[in-house]
Amino acid sequence: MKSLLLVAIGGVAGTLVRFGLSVVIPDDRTGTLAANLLGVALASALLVLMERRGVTELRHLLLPGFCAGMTTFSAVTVQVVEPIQGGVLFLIENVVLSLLIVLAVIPISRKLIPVRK
Amino acid sequence: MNYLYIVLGAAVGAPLRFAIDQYIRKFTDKPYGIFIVNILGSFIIGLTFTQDEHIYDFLAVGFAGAFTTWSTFMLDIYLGFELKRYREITINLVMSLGFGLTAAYLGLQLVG
Repeated sequence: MKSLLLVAIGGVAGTLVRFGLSVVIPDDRTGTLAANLLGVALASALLVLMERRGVTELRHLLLPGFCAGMTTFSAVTVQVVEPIQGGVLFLIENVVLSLLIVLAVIPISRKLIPVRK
Repeated sequence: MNYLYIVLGAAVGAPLRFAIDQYIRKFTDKPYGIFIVNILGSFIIGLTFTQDEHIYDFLAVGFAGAFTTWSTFMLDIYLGFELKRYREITINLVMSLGFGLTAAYLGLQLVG
């Protein structure tokens, strides 16, 4: 029950950041891409940090809460199939750039955050 | 005030995703929970994408936005890659995107 509440709080905060980015960035697809890439970078670093330093409650607040709420799968799929040109390119950008970010950030985070003795 | 609708939608969507994922993980170590959530959320956002502002804020930005997740999807793929489960991550990528795009398209068509 406590976990559900923490995930809800983190999820609301992450969603508001995603919404804030969509206000600052007028193009809908670019706003979604920015939220997803920032969220993936943050989630990659936090995954390592929580693995090595975290407690369960904080992990629930930040990973399935904040980062998962900030990023979104549904906006990607609907913005790919909406009748505006460039959907396929937008999909490729989301997938390829996200994977490159995870591939870079997780090893770097493992170097920067040593295992606690 | 559109913030209220977004907050309410996310306050339901995020814990519902977590509950479904935690439940499914009792039976498998594969990310089926996130798969189900992402497909369902894609269908719901398709249905609400062209609706009035409050429904859009509540269901598309708030609920479907927080219910579905891109970061967990990408982290699961990376972790599968580290474990050399190449077949599994290819299936996850292709099925999630294939079914997700189809679900969003169907949702859009139903209301369009």
